Amino acid sequence: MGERHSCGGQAGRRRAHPDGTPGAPAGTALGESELETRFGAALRAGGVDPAAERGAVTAFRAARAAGAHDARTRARDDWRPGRPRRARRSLRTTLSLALASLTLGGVAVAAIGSARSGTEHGGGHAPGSARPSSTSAPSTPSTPAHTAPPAAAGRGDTPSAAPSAPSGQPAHPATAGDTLAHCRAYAQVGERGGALDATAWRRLVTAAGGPGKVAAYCTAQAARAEGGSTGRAGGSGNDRSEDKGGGRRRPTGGKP
Amino acid sequence: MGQGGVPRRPQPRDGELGAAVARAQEGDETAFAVAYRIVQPGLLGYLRGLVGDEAEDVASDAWLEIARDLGRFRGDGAGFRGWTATIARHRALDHLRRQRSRPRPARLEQDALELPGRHSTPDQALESLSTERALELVRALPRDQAEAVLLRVVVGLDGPAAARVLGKRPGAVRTAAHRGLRRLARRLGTTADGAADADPPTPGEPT
Repeated sequence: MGERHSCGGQAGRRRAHPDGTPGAPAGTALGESELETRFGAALRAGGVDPAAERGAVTAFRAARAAGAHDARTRARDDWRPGRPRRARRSLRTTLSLALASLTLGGVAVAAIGSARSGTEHGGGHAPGSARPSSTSAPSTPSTPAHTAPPAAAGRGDTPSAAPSAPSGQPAHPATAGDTLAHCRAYAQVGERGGALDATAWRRLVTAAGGPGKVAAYCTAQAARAEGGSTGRAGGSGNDRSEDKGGGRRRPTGGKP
Repeated sequence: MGQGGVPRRPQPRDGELGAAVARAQEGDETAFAVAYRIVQPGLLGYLRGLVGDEAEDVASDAWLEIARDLGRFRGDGAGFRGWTATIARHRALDHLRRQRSRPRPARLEQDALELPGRHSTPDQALESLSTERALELVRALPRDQAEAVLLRVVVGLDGPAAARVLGKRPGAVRTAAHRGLRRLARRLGTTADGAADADPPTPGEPT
């Protein structure tokens, strides 16, 4: 459109280019700046639509009236020479910092995870130690083993009182108590596995020798416990099964 | 716009633009209109390359935002081109995203067919380059090359400013612009009656 006017002059001027860039084949002989000029002119052709301009000015007026022009300058609004590069760099720095913190955070989380699983596997008593210590300091047969845990959990403050008491013995009664507790939880919660603490559940399944054998295993365990303490099983059965939930989640339950 | 010399970019009125923007920021709406008239053609050309026929609508959206946020802007005339191009680009990308969610029949291909290059030399092809033809050629480029070319050639940004608009490194944008321009030159050459010496790769052109 608007670019036709300059056909003659343009052609004359063009001729100069191949000389300036000797050896360039015809296809690319069009000087880059020539090409830019022509494309720029072609794509910028067409005047300004007055209606569109009025719309923009109206928007300007409205913004001025609303006081929008006092708004604060954001980094992306600052196009002063020299600034952009700094802005870019700071953006890049920000991004790399964010990335680094993400990485570190990931490592930290992973470390926590491994540490916890380490204590759970290796230590074994870590989760249970608080309970058994209060519980099974009197590490008598089996009675206290499964009666006391509920008590401890119920009181909530005992565990902290005697966490350091006996270290060697508690493991066994604790395991027995835990197993029974898990069994009760299993019986109550049934297949809704999500309600069971995953680790405890896994341990129970492992101890039973497979998911299918849990019921049988639990029956056997209960029977064995029953053999030790007959009287209490019936009385405190309910309490215990309630405690199971509380007992397992003691970390959260004990706080309040 | 074709000045006599070999202008790197068409940015003839940056001084005037900077002054107009400064006055507009003080509330002068006439000055805002002046800035609009200077910037709009390039902005519209850029948007045509991005969204085709919807360019006017997208430009209107962009100008609403420009008018609203004018007080936030800091910089000179060239900076204003970059700032407005960034806003326009965001509006265009929004538009494309919306468009992708409700696809419509493509019209551009059809239009393109009606525009054969029946010129005997690349020179002539270039001299009678119509807006439609230029647009068609630019839109046939890969997106990054098209945008780099448009920002440089149509909006009139220098390398760093174009890079900032695109959120890329200047080197990458410069390369994309070179490639795009070379491809445009080749397309122009070959569509001109197929002669054009089969355009072998440019020997030793620095990129």
